[in-house]
Amino acid sequence: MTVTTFFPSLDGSIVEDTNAVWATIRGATAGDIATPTAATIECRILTTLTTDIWERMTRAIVLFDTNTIPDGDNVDSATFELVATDRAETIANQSASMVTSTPATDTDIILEDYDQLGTTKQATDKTLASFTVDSATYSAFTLNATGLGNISKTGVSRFGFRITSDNDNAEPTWASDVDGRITVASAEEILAGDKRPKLVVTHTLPFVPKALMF
Amino acid sequence: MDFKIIEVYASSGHLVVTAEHYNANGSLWFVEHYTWQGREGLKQKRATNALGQLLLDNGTVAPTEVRRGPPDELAAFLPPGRNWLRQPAPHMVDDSILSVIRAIHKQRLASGWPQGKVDTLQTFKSASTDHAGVTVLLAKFRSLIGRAE
Repeated sequence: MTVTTFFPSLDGSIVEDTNAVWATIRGATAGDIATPTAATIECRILTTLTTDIWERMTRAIVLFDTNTIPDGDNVDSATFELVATDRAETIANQSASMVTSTPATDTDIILEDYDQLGTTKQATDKTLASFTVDSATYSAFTLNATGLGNISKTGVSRFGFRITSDNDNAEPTWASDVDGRITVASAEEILAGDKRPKLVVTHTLPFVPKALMF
Repeated sequence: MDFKIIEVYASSGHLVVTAEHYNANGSLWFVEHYTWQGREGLKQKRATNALGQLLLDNGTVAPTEVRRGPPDELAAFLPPGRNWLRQPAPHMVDDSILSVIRAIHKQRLASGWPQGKVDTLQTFKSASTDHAGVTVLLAKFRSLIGRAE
């Protein structure tokens, strides 16, 4: 087995910033703000002061160029690791879901990428409370079999994360001016040291039995 | 001692860090190769001034705009025709490597791992940027040979 660490080839958040009911803000086909060079990326849901109206929904896309993994290797395990810099939990019991993404290109994050995150979970959901928020310590998603299968040995592995309520289309009980958010260091972070998102992949050449003929 | 780095070298455009991992009684547990794409040697963190403000490639402070919150925040942006000023050294630091080795040791303690297993390194695919950058990584991280924790 060999352990290879990948840093993002690109990452960014897309924010849908409009006052609307849950279905409208969640179902938008494009966002209002895209941040491909920001020092942080995040996923978020935020309410307004008006009953049943949501102000903001944010999703994050993270791409890793994993095509250098030997073609014949099996991907045995992997972790997707993030350093959290901020969190809001005035909406109780929120989680983040790791999913796949299909951005329009591998070289930019654009407004139209807002609806280009999948809903199939690539790892067990991670509660916002379980993130260490100190701008220094990595918190990890451990990829499940589906996630491992989406690590590409021939191209870019396209992942992302979104608030689980958004992912599952399970609107939380509305309250005025409440927030569920996890903010993490991006590929363009400017913290001390190296706090970029990373994908740590353990891979191995499968054992091939050989027969000896006498 | 949990592990010791016994070799740092370049292979197929990748930085390879070989570490011996030890049992609690000091005996050898397993040997693992940790690798990073050489292109990481060409990635540099954006430069900031003493106030933490991002700088442009002409040395001036990047302009900012208010990104509406809550909380509102001042976000630097890149004007047309400009690039970010980058630090001269690679973004990767010693802890980019050591933190992965520590984490794998901890994971395999929890999950179990065969005694005496020695990893066989395969030939990686690579891009021209991997070959260009790996010499930078090698120069920066060869000093980790002998590092033990």
